[in-house]
Amino acid sequence: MNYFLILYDGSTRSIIEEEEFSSEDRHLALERRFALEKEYRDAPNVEVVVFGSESHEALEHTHSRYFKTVSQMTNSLHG
Amino acid sequence: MNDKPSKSQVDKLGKRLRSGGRVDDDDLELLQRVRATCDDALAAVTERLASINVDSRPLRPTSRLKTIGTIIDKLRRESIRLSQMDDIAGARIVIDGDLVAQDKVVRAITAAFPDTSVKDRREHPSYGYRAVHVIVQHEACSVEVQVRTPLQDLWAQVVERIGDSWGREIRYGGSPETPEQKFRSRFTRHEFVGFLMDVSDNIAGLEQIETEVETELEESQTSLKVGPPKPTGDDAKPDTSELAARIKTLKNAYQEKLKLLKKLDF
Repeated sequence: MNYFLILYDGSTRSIIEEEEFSSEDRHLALERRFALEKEYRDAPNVEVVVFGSESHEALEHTHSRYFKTVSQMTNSLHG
Repeated sequence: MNDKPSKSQVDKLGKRLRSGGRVDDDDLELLQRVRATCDDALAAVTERLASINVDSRPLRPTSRLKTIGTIIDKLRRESIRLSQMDDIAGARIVIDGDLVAQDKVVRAITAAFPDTSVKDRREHPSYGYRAVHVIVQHEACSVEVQVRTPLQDLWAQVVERIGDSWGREIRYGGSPETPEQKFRSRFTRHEFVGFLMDVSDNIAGLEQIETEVETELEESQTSLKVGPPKPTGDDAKPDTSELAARIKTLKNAYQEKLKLLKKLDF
């Protein structure tokens, strides 16, 4: 399992920052997340989250809204 | 960081978060401890899920601890204590299949863990949201495992993406910000949220009929091998032309809605 830290700005629907951590560094990813949550505490549109996933591609499959527009999501499922 | 806060500490924190205002340093640190205590359980459950194959396909789960914003939203939306919140730790699986395959995956998950409960949000959708959730109890933590079909997931992702711009409340039956604002000339924002609810109903109809067809086929194959003759008259299953007509109507309605979604640059 790999860990992906995502800093996402909902108001612009874009990823501000992304970091990848190995399985051994899961606690480090969480510490980094908590530090960023403190930093962005007064920015309600900014989400800080760490995902555990086998790959970035698997993460994009389960959490497409961080990575794709509505149009892209719909087209990738229905061609 | 991993000292487990007491239930009373957790619930008092929940009350403070519900009441609003800026989250101060002490509460932020406590909320981080609350979530961190379930991080090991979440990792263990996710690893176990990743080891499960259903019909030779791995489940490929993704895990996450809930964000501060969604925890506070939930506390304000529902009369729930923070210590009762069972989705602070969660995993998601998007299967490659239909309702029958979804049921199969849910059975595989419940068989893999000794203590689980199932919330079927296909029977009881939450403001258009449909999925099956399995709550796994592991090391004194609850882990919510969301199991979605591709269509259920598409709908949920679209609503979340639009909610980023119009306000997350639309995911829970609330109004969008500036509900009367025009959207793509045909709709107000409020009307477009109604359109999304229609899409959810449409998807539910399509998935249901797909399951009926699959069941029909299985039953007809079984009755070819053994069994009594098929019933006739009023007891007969709907004939294929009726089924085909229902499928056509649902598919046409869905295709019409897709045309609009495919153009949305959200």
